[in-house]
Amino acid sequence: MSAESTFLKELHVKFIKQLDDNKDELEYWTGEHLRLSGVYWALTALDLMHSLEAFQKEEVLEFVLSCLNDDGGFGGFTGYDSHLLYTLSGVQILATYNALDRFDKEKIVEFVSCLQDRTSGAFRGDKWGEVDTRFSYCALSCLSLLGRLDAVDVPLAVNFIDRCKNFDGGYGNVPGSESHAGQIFCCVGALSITKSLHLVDADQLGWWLAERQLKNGGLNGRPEKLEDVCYSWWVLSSLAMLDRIHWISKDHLRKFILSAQDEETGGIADRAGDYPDVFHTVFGVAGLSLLGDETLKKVDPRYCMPVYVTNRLGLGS
Amino acid sequence: MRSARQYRQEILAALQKDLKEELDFIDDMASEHPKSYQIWHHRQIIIERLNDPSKEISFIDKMLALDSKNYHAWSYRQWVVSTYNLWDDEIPDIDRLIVEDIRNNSAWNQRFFVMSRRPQGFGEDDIVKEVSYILQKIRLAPNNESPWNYLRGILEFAGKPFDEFPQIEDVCRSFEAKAMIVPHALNFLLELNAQQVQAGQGERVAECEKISKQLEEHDPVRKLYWRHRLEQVKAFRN
Repeated sequence: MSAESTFLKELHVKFIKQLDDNKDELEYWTGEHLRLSGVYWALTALDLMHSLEAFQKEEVLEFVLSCLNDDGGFGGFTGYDSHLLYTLSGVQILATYNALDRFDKEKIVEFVSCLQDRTSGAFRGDKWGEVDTRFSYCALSCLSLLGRLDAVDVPLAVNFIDRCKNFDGGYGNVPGSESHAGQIFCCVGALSITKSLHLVDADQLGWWLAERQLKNGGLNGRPEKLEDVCYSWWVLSSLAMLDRIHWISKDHLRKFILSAQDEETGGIADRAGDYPDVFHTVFGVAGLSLLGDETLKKVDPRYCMPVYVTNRLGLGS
Repeated sequence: MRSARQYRQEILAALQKDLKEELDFIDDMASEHPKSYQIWHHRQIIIERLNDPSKEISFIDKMLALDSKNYHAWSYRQWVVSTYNLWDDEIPDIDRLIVEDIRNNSAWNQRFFVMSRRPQGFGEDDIVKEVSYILQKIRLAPNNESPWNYLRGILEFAGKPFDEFPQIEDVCRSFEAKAMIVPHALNFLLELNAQQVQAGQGERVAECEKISKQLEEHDPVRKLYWRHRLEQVKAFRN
């Protein structure tokens, strides 16, 4: 059977494992500055494929610890400044390994909560950066994994996200900005985590998200943009949180994701014929899980982590 | 990159370095790394210090010429326009971008941003002009999603029911006469009739049924959505 119809699990596990084995290569993963996120993407893909053991747990935890800074945040790599993007990745890895107790949780909580602007409710990515609903998601997701949503002003955070809602039902990075499926995942995810989904116009947004499916089965992130496997996650998880995943054709999307697999090296690319990478691999695998592939572990659409992990943390929906 | 950028801000402040020179530096950097949002934020801080946005729109236009859907460029543009009250020249600029690429959803979003936030407000003349503008663009590319979304958004913003302007329904029906299937037009007609059902015209349900059947046939990937919408409409009648 061709890759068009078969999920090449063994090859994908090998692809990810090889990335880890070839640490010294120049183009290791997706670049040093976001290595910690790369580890989270790889680990999540492996776990969903029932292959968590392909990585050495203690080695990974040692690397994660080396990215933790004195301010309580994580950098993208050892010695890099803290940022919310990587702090979420660090916490996600620790949660997956059930190792949150090995770190000073309160310190991490302090780093995250200090990044909230107490006037607008928005979050900065780091202490001198700009605000963006992506960072609202990172902060709220991270704090809920740590069981400490009480450390920030949640109603104000929710209010900022609500102000980013657009005339088409979607969300952007700041109030007035164009709707974008990646930002929509962040906003719907944050609203779901904070039990505020009643603020979403689920029918209007659900329809806008369903319109992202193109004739080839793939999904794009904005009108008139190209399809890309990563939107299998951003769009599909949003539809799942809104309980409207059936509004698109699951079969067409599954075929599109499978067509982006690399039959030789393993891994999944943005679309058929391009080079695979770990980013598109995890979002392709997570998308297939949401589509109901029973050979994979179930993924939690709010966190992009396996459901058994979020259940273990008492975050069951 | 990130740390270097903060360092750069600190040095600039300490040395009272010529901030205009720094803008030239960012021009070069931004052309090489247009998707780095840090560069845009760096630029915003410099402009705030200079309190001089005079070159910003032409800089952003230059960047949009490289990628007319650059998300960070558009976000920055909204900040510049609203912070420095540059609303007046915005509509002609958006018109130009829409003429260059009628499918540029970012430009359509910017149009909504300006119409809904500019200080002079949005009156009766404005909605009439907008409807005529949108219909002209829809005729040029009927399957282009952006003006259809904008049409619904701006009618709702103006507080107008979808049957307020008969010319919209005429345009939607005109495709059928030419044997063209335009799902966005059918969807608009469905929503227009759904509003009428909701307003008490129960007999419009039959039209909704007819349209949703057409949509199921011509847009089968979303057939469960079309069925769901019809069920909702029927529930309005009850």
